[in-house]
Amino acid sequence: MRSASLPTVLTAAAGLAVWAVLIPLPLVVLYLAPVGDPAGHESLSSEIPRLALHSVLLAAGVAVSAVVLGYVPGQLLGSTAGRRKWLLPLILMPLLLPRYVLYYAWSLLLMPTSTLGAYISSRPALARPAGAATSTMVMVLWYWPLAALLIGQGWASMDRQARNAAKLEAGSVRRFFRITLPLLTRPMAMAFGVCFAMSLSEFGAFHLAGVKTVGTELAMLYQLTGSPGAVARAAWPMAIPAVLVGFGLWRRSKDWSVNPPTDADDARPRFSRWAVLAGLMGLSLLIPLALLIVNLSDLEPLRVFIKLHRDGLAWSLLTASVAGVLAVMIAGGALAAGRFARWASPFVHVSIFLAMFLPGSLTAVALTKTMGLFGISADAWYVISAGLAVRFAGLALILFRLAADSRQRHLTEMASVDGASPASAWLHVHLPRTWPTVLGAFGLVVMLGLTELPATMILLPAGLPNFAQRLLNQMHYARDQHVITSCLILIAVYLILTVLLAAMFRTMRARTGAVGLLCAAMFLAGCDSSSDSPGEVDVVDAIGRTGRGPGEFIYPRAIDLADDGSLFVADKTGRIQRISQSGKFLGIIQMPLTEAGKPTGISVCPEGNLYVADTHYHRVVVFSPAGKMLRQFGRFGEDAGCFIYPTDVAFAPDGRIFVSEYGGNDRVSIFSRAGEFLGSFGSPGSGRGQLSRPSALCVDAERGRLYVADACNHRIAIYNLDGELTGYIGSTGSEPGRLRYPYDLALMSDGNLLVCEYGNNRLQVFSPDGRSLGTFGSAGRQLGQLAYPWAVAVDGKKRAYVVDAGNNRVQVWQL
Amino acid sequence: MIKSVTAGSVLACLLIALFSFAGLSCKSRSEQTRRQVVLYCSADQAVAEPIIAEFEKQTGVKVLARYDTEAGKTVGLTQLLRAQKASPSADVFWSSEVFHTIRLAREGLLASYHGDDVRDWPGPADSQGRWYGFALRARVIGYSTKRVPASEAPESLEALLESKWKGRIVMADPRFGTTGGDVASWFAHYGGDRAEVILKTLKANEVRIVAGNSTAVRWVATGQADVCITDTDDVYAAQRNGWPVAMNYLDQDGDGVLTIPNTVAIIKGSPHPEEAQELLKFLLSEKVERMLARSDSHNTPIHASLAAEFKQYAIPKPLEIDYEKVADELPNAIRQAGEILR
Repeated sequence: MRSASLPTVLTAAAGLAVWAVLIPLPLVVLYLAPVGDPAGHESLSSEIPRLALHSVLLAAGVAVSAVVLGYVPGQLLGSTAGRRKWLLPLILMPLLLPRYVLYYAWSLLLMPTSTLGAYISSRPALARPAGAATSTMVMVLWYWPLAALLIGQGWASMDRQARNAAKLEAGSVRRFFRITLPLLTRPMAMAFGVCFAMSLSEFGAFHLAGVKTVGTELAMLYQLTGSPGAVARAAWPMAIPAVLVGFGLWRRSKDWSVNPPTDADDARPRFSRWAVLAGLMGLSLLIPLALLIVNLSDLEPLRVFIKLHRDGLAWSLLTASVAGVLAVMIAGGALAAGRFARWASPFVHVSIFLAMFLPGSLTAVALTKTMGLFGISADAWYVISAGLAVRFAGLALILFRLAADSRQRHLTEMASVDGASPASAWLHVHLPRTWPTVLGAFGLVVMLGLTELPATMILLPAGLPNFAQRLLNQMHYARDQHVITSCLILIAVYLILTVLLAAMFRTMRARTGAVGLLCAAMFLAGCDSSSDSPGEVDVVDAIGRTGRGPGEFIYPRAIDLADDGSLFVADKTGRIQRISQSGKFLGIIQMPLTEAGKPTGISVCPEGNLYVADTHYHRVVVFSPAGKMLRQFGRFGEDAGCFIYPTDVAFAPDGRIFVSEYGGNDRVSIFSRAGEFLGSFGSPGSGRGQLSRPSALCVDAERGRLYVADACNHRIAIYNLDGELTGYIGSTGSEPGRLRYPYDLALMSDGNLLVCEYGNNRLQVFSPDGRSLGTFGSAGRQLGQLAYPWAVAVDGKKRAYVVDAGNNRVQVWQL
Repeated sequence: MIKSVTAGSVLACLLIALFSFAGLSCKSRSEQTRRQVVLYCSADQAVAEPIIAEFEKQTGVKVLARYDTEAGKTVGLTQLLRAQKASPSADVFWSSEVFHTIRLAREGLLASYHGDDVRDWPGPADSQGRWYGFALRARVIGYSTKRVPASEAPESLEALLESKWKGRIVMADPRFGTTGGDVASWFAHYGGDRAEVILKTLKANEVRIVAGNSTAVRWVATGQADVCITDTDDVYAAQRNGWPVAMNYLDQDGDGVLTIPNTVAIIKGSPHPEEAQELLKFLLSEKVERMLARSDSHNTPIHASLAAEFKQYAIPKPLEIDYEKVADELPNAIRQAGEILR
């Protein structure tokens, strides 16, 4: 399972091939077209520079308004993990109503046949601003969900500690301007950029409203000249913001999967926020729908549609469906590029986003020009599919990236430490989880493709009926009843598609959920078992089982031995259980705070007290053997004596205390017995003397050594007790002598070092001079096998107590 | 692997369902043995579709139609025909105007047709039989009946130039459709200098330029403008919807109003010449003129036999003008209008 499976490679290769043929090649051809085509048509294209300033201001106004309106929905989306599942599709719903349909619906209010329209139309002073504002308002009403999406991601990635601290210290207004706004500057700028770039290339709504912009003029220019060269020359300036925003989007999207929102952050959003969201949904979706419905007065157009025009809908569905498949392939190819060919990933991503931001007419012209160069007729239905895929692959890619939450990253890491290649992990672990996203992206592209106009108008071959073009023409001919009927049919199709997709999600989840989790777990834990050579293990006992009761564990992660031979075991319930060597439950210490996270390191000091690295509360808590909290030291920060995420504690013979930590400090701090800071060593990184997630400490008093498990550098650092580096043990790998994620250390009575390898699912013993003396255990669920071992302790009889986290037990092995 | 197969199967089922729906509904494409003809059509799609359906029903010939939109009215299709000159895809060009058709004929893109049925053609036609005109529309001034009393409504181009209409006029982009031909007719009728003055006076009257004739009428209906220069069919459409819009013919200096025929032509090198002739003959038939007169467009028939039946659509005083001359002026008129009215 170490290499990518053939289907995975083929799928990725197919996606990248589709991308290469449909996006970079036509873009290059288009932008080289001015070189090949004779100059001309300057008088016809001279309108475009003249409109540039007006278009930029208009697009900027739309983008700023969209960001302002999208702020509150974005806040809801980014700070409420539990509701995200339904809030995300809800917020995306207004995007399904095409902008020109939205414009048409709202403009029905201004028609002289309505009461309001009759009033306004008799007052030019009102009518002109109302007419001019409608198209702009519609753009804002369409773009706020996009802004909300990006702002929501910003919220999700926000530094909660900073915000929570600010909550205590500042009022809401001050907090907004001094804390929230600076933290959200980048996502808000990104949201502005996306809305700005897309508004700049808008065609349908502005065209219907009679508003001239660069976007409408570019579409006109090709109609006027039929010259790709002229269009490319005129469109050069449009590419600049599109490239910038595409690049920015790619950069931002890399952070999207870092911190998913938690309910703890904002468990009960204020009513006013929901009211704002409801208002926006009303303006963007419900009121326009209501306007269409109440203006329907004749069912004859429905009969005509069914009799004469269903072929247009069918063909549009077909072309849009193929476009959906192609777009998903392209987006998948882009993700694959991030795994297989990182150097190409920025180019692939930026080009996909660029194609999304460029006017559709440009996309279409680029495709036809490219096909012409290769002697291929562009007079075919699938060319429309290609054009639609190019236009909407960026949206599919955004959805894909949004769906990649930190759990997926965690799963990737877990699969990786199990030896699965990224591609195999994607196919076997992520694909079953991401099918809803794939189908969602497919559905979104189908729905948007069904009503796309700028590219379709150019690519539509003779004899191919098309729903969107007919709808636009009906709007032009003021055939209101036909337009309304078509819009309602469109919405019905959307509903059917949504129900169909939702039913598919449900079916797939029911059928694959349980099996999927089981398969994934088995795959993760066991797929490498055949490839490794497990060391012989003499299993003495297995303590505990899954559960929250006495003697039961939920993902145990830390262990140490008390003087009397009993065990202290910490798990993800926030409990530290004291258990006898025979597995009898003796007592419990409950951590005082657990909401932010649970401790990952416990160490019994020579006096018998229990030092707990209370990782997510940035401190070390000291308990008596009976469980009484004696004191604590450390607080959050990067300064001397502060911690970010402390992981373990060790004790020098002279009473000094060593504390390791990660999360940005990645160092070892030294404290006096009384908790006074004495110094620190190490810095984040992978170089000599640097540390990456030092997860455990172990003192060899006899040799005057401090061993540090430098987990993410896959090595053991050896320091003297004054913090001077003297050498390393191990390097990355699975062979004996090599290490993968050494998470814990224990010193054996003979002076050898016992290392718990999370990544290789085993224990390994090293001599003091760094030679591997043997490995024990392998990945799996059986006794003698391990699933993500986090910690180990060893007694004087060379009995190792291995925290088998993934199996919710402690195994006792005789080494 | 199980899951990917399952999910893939489900997606495949969805696609199959969609394809099946498309396949069942798109009844024509698989019927390739059927005779077919490729039509490029700049007449309004909603008006043309029933006529094409009737032709298909009558002859059994499948029409593969390519329509345009108001965005590139007529001009987009003529550019496409030029681009395909070496290897034409189209068989027949049905244009909603005449001037671009004339230019295509001069460029050698259209084939001659001299059948018995067009021997004494009653309408405008090319002397070499490369195009035939039918089903007229006229240029009109649409006005709001709520804000412009009928007695004060402008009845001529000259009236529109009066300063009282300043800031109240809207017209379509002269680069496209019939508006370009209309402006070119001013150059042909009044002469270049006067036409230029007319354009400058319209500019001084702050005329607004919008995407198409229908948009111009919509602006009048919604109160964003009081009068517009447009075509008869766009005003008929507004009236059908109950909008408060009426019209006067756009008289040019008392000499009459520009009438604009639909035109039909066979493309030179047409892939389906026999079917193309069949379609051309059908489009030039009385039946089609009757359908067009009855349609939302209410075109004025050129067949004398239909005059009495549709006298309500008769154009009282057509401008006597040489379409060829107007076509000569077209590029210059569009350029000057673009420069002056921007």
